[in-house]
Amino acid sequence: MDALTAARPDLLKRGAASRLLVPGLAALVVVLFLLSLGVGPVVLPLRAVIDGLFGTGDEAARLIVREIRLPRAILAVAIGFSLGLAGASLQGLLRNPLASPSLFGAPSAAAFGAVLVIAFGVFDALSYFLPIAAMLGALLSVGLLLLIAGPRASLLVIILAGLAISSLAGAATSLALNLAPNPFAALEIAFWLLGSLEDRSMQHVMIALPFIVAGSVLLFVDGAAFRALTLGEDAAASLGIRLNRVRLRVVLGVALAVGGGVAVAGTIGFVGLVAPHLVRPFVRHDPARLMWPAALAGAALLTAADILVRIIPAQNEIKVGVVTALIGAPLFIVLVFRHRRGLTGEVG
Amino acid sequence: MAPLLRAEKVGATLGRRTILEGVDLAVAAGELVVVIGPNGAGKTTLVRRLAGLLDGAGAIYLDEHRVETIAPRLRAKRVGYLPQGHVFHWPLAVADVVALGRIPHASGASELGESDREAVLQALEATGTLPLAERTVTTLSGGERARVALARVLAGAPDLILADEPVAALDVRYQFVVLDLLRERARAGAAVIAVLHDLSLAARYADRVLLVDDGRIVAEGAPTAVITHENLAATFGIHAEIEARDGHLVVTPLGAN
Repeated sequence: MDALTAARPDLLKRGAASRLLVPGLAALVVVLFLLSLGVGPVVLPLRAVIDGLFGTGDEAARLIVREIRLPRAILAVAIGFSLGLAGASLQGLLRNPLASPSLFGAPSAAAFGAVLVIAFGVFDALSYFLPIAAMLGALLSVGLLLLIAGPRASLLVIILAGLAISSLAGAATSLALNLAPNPFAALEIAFWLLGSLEDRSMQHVMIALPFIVAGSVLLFVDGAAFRALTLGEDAAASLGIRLNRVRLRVVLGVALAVGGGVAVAGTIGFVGLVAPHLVRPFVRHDPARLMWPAALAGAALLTAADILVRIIPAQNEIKVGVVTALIGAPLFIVLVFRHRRGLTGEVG
Repeated sequence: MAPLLRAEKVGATLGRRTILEGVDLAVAAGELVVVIGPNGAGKTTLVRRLAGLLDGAGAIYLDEHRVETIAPRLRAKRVGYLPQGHVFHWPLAVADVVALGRIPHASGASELGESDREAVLQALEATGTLPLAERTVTTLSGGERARVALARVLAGAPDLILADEPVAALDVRYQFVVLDLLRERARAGAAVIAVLHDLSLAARYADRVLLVDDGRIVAEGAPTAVITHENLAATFGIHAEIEARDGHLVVTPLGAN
């Protein structure tokens, strides 16, 4: 067998391109992060950004960088990261490249949870009840969907169920807005629902980050399981994968990540769909190797989109959730078109 | 010697329907047992039940330990399960698919160790899929996919191989190649249980044949004892010509009764 190993030394070893993917994407995220600190009504050069970040530059630059733009940049990276990861995980679990948190109605359900809290002013909008309510909403939608779908549901069932849950959450949100005691609160919520990172403070970061980090940690556990699921549920189980635990971790992880993000930034869709899609060819479609690149691509995408909304000349700043949907939804249509043959078939 | 696998009064239900009932079975290391039976007899359910993938009545012992009490990963190291259909959901490279068989052995590192690489290469070589190693698995023909699926199981070097229709979709030559491989694994000390539809192949390769019908084992023993005109008529509802040729039974189905 030594001769065989010697004859194919290349086999099963990663190429240089795939080893550079994660560091490359990480570098891209860092560049975009710094860019995000520099771009806005006042454009700051890199020098001023770094000085401001470490509190050594002049007062105005320091204030802009640390108080206004840093929370926003942190949130863009963290939320984008967790959405990319959530998308890759759902796709791995369901063995389908069209799965994403949005498809599950998770953001709308999370938004409903958060809106309930805000609209009725039960709690201060900057308390931990907001992400908890959002997380519970997301948990309900993702859990319900996997329950409806069962282990061997076709993608069509999942999409239809997701649509139904999404619509229900949307209607419930509208009802909450409708019944909101304060019309100004309603207007504020409507804008917040569009998804934005504008004017977020470190307090928002502190609220969202624990949920996002916990969710991401949970989601990173199951790479090997997603890889084994390539062979289907039975074969994966026969390889020692405990599928019930995997499902539970993915549901919880997605709910935590989406809940934390939605609580402070509103609904930002399609990052979870687009990010894994962009990097999948570079990892040769391996669902385990996909996870870090998908997460980093998500971070880069959302940060870039959030920079874009500041550059586009418009009277009102365009909401970043609108931009991601405008870019993501057409791509979704393209994906559906490309996979339309598989859509009538089974997922499992 | 104690059997490697022992099943006691094993059953399985799907909703209110009983798929499998009162199956007693013992398979020793080194044995190749072939399961035959008509469609819907419960062959696949039996294999899934034996693989520990399905709950139900009765008890299954692996080396005299209840299979439910063995940690899934430990069980996975010892029991290789080859499902029907040979479906692959992601367009992975063939070598990466075969490497999935090493998951129970992985030390937690994402890169394969030297022994893993060797096992994968051996499995590729044995199944004749080494030339396909870099191909994308979803672009392969049905027969090629079947061999890759088997290579995945062999890569894990299990003591017990449960193969559900391993030669369906294979051309005649590769049916022999694959069954030769399974027999070779049995000679090397593994216990092999394979579901087959081709009665001549079953007779030729089996140390023992299990005839399953309506969720029960209706006949068990040497091929000549199980594959008889009466049994084939009673279970498959066919009449067939059964002749001994070169020391093997050759079964030529002649028609439905």
